[in-house]
Amino acid sequence: MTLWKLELLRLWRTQRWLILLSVFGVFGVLGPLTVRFLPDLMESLGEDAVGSLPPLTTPDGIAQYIGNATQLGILAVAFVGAASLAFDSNVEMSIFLRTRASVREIFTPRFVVTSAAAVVAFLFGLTLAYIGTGLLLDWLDIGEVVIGGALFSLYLVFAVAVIGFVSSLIKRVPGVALLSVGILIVVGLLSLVSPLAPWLPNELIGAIDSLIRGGDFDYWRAIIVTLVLIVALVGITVRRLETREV
Amino acid sequence: MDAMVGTDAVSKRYQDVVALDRVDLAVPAGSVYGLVGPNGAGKTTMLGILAGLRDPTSGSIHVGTTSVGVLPDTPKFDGWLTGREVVDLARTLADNGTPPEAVDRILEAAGLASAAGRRSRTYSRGMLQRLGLAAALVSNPEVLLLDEPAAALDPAGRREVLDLVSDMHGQSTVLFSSHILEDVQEVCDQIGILTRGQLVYQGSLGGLLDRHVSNRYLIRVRSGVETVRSLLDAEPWVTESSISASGVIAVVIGDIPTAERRLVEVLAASGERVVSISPESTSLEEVFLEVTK
Repeated sequence: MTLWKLELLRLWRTQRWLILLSVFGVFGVLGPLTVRFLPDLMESLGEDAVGSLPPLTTPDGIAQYIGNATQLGILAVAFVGAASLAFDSNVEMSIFLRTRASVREIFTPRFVVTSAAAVVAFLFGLTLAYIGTGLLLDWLDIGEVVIGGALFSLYLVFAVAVIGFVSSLIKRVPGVALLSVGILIVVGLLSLVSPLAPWLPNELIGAIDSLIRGGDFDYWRAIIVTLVLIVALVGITVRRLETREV
Repeated sequence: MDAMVGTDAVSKRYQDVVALDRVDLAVPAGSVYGLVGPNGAGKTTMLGILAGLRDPTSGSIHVGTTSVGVLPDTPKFDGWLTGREVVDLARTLADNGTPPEAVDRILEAAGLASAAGRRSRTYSRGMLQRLGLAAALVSNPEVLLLDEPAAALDPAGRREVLDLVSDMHGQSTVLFSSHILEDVQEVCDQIGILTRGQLVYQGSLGGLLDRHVSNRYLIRVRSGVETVRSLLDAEPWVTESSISASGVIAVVIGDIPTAERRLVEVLAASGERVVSISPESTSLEEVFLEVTK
């Protein structure tokens, strides 16, 4: 039994993998379905309701999925991630691990496995959304979906790094999850300040929508800043956890 | 410092509360050292500092090896891990070449062989305590830090744990905190008494008990109880005597060295049949209460 296997077992036996796949999977199916059938549904409610809808296009199948993944998907990642990364919340288990391994050895598999689980679940949902959009609406260019999916995945890794950092500030799992979501929202609000927006990780969230609608690839600044932030947050987290008393 | 585990003027403060006050601990290599004290004396804080889980406010610590096994007072593990997986994880993390077979061996010794495949969330508190001890012992650490290892156990479980600790004599250096003085008296050869954050005694257990030897002797005779008593009362080193309902003569001694030389002589001169002579035993509990008052 290694610390890597411990994390994979945690994901499997606590069925957190199922939570992540379910949340992203359901939205992956619902995204294109909503776009395809919402006008019909609204029509059945009356002509006025249909008139209030903007015209829906093929990329909206994916955009709908991304919108839901950004909100409830990240909330799910926050709780699943906090349950793994806030390892001092279970003091006795933390003593067991900390007296046998360094914080870096404990934290690294938790960070990597949580990030991988979030990315896999997101890509699973994206695949369902892409296929659903293709079947119900029209087929989108796969290359742009892949690039956009990779950029959103990088944002998810940043979100997990934020969760890890918050776990070095507070110990309780719900507190870690909620404060992490709060920080991600604040970073999102900063994106509204136009000069900063191209530099912030949140720029990566909307990349897929922009790319499949024919937008230019202009994300290098956000990619670099996000990578720097991930490395910095992980480094600070490990340092803080090393000096924290249990 | 010659000790395998030691501290040099270690203090620990939590805001205004002094948990440890300039403690100089010295645990000789190969000894089983009992750290005793009332609740809140600072035992868990001291073990936490030695385990690297807490930092001293001042002073320094010395642990002469990196091979250290730790058992917290209330061990608990991720409930979805089986007992075998917990011990195997401890074995892997020790990274000292302990073979996988050692896992089942130590689980057997801890009385958990039949529960090894069960998830730890189904374990009782006593079973978790034994699982924690098995995880601490699996890699044969050179130093063992055990915080109240038998506190949560039933008599049978307590017996098993005390036997396991007792078996460590000479193999590992064991620092064993407890407020159950009977356990400490049974398995420890060295003792430290911690009270209100201060180490008020440190040394061999035998030495501590000898220093507080009782001045009461109990004498059992098969005949002539009154005769023996009156002979003893006539001795200047006897200050008081009494006869219990079971016929045992209790004698309070004023001058112990003289009594140790003369007592047998007086009894022999009485011509009565003497069954036993013994100083009234001094328990660690009595000594502890005296030292910590």
